[in-house]
Amino acid sequence: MHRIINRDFLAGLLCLVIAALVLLQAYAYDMGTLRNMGPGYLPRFLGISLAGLGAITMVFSAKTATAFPVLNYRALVCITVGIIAFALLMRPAGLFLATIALVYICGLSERRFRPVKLGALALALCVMSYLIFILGLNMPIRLFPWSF
Amino acid sequence: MEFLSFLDLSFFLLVGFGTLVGIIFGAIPGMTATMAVAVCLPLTYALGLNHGLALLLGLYVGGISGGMVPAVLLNIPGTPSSITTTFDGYPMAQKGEGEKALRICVIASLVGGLVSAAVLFLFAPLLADFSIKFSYVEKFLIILLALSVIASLSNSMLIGIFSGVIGVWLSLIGDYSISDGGNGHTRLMFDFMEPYLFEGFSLLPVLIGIFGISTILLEAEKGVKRDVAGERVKIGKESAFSFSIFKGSFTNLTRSSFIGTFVGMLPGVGGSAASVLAYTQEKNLAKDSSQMGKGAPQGLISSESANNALTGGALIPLLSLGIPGDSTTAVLIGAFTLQGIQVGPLFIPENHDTWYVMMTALVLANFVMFVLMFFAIKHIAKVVMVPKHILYPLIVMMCVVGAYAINYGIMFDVWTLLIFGVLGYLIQKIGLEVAPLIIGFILGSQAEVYFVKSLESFGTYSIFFTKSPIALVLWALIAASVVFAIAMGFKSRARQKMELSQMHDPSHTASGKHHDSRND
Repeated sequence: MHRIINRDFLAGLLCLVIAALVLLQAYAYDMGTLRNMGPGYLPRFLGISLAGLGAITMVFSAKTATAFPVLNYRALVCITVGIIAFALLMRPAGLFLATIALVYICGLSERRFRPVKLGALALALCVMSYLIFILGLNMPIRLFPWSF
Repeated sequence: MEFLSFLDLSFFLLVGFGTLVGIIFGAIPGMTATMAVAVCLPLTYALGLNHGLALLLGLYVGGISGGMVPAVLLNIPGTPSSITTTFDGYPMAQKGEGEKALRICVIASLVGGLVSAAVLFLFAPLLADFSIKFSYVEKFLIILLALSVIASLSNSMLIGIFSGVIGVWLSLIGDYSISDGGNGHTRLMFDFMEPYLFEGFSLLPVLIGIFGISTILLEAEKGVKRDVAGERVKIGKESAFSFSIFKGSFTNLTRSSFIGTFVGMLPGVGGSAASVLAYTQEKNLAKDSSQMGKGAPQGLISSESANNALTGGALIPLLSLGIPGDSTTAVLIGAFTLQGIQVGPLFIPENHDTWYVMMTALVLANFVMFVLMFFAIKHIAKVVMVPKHILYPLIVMMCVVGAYAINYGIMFDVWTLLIFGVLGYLIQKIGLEVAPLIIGFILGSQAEVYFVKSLESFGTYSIFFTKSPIALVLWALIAASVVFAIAMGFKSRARQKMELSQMHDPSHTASGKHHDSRND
């Protein structure tokens, strides 16, 4: 199994999928002529060449087989959710609460959960980002839910 | 000499601060100069172009230099460009000569940095002057050459091309504006995305996401396995250091510095290529290379002078052609975009003051790096032990707030950051490469404009060959890069086979452990 499905195979497959999507989308665009190219010209040109290359990579992937990548889902999910929470909270709740949420959610990506340490870190980060972004750079960011 | 008015106190403070932060970033394994520049990019928005560049160039020089610290003390390169420093640095540290090794590295770095700055100063205006006359045809071919060089120097050429083409596509998303020869409609997206993506993904959140967030994601999973903080850092006693170590290394220093500068000029090549090349050249050409790999100063000299020489080299194509020489300079493009300045052949003639300010900042940053590292190396060595769980939330937050604030509070920029952070992580996981992708993304829309305009005015593909002798030279270079990649492919396949057969021999398993050839 792992001789067929490996990194290069995945990369080739990904390229084929992207090429197919782009070609599908670009199909609706006008090709135009050489002198007066339509918007679909370059995407389609690249799409066809990439699909070809993707196929070559997949064919040769059995030879260049390297190990299947292992993802650390925990870190990926925690950090992603942390950023989403931060982005959603920043406007309504302000930078202060958003930072605390971000630090705690990112902190979950580690095996050991240290609430006090994370709290201290969150506070330090709030002060730091206040100093840099709001005082220093005058950026229009809300700090607390009740400010401006 | 009007530029002197820009050199106020805050300029010097920003260069100093940038260099110090850069050294710290570089010294922490897993954090690179590119990341330092990407994370601090939003800060430049309020600083203005000249001061912003002072900060970023400080970060760049500091970040490249900082990598030597863990390379010598822990046998882990702090940045990929310090891989070869570990070969001789760690054996010296084990002998108790850590401080001496670091001081040798610092001096070599200074020389490399200054040589490349001089080359940049002399060469960039010439190249810009030359390329100013290029028509759309040559401009398109230059971009094609840049992409093919990047692809050919990737681990596998096909993978490099994929990554580049994906980058180009990502840059095509958005409206196809009429001034570029288009029809004003949006492309490569679904209708519901139109309000957000009319102008395409904006460059800065993409850069911060790919070089900030995805690096964090990659490192977060490593950090659990291998905690550096547990190891004790031995810097060694005040062992006899004198400048006489450099006696007879003049050729080595110059050769390595020029190798570094030249490799830096090639688009998309990471720092590891420069130091590896300089190191192997020293090994082949030196009269006595028997001690190399066992703690010889000459290895340190070649490795560190080459990787610092990258900085000036990588800036040459950026400032003269608008093509970034490595991922860090790709991020630097963001700083220019932020200020609404286009880098290209016209940059130096039109922004003379900024050009001199950049040169001053680059030279100054090298000296600040020298002073900081030569006299305070003991204290800097301690940052290697800073626990990562403190750093990661800090960097994630800097990235997110920065991305949010950079265009006056557009929340979609944060989503862009996240999309590209995760995308950057996934593509590196499946073995695609970030450097070609980002350079494709930066150059893609220009490439299309040049491509379309050249065909519009001539109406035949053959124009790409017959326009001018320069076009033919560019084609020859493109062909050379492809041939080079194929030849290297055979070589590395042969080497892989050799390594594979060595793997069965248990005595060889320890070697090559830290040599992961990730792009910085």
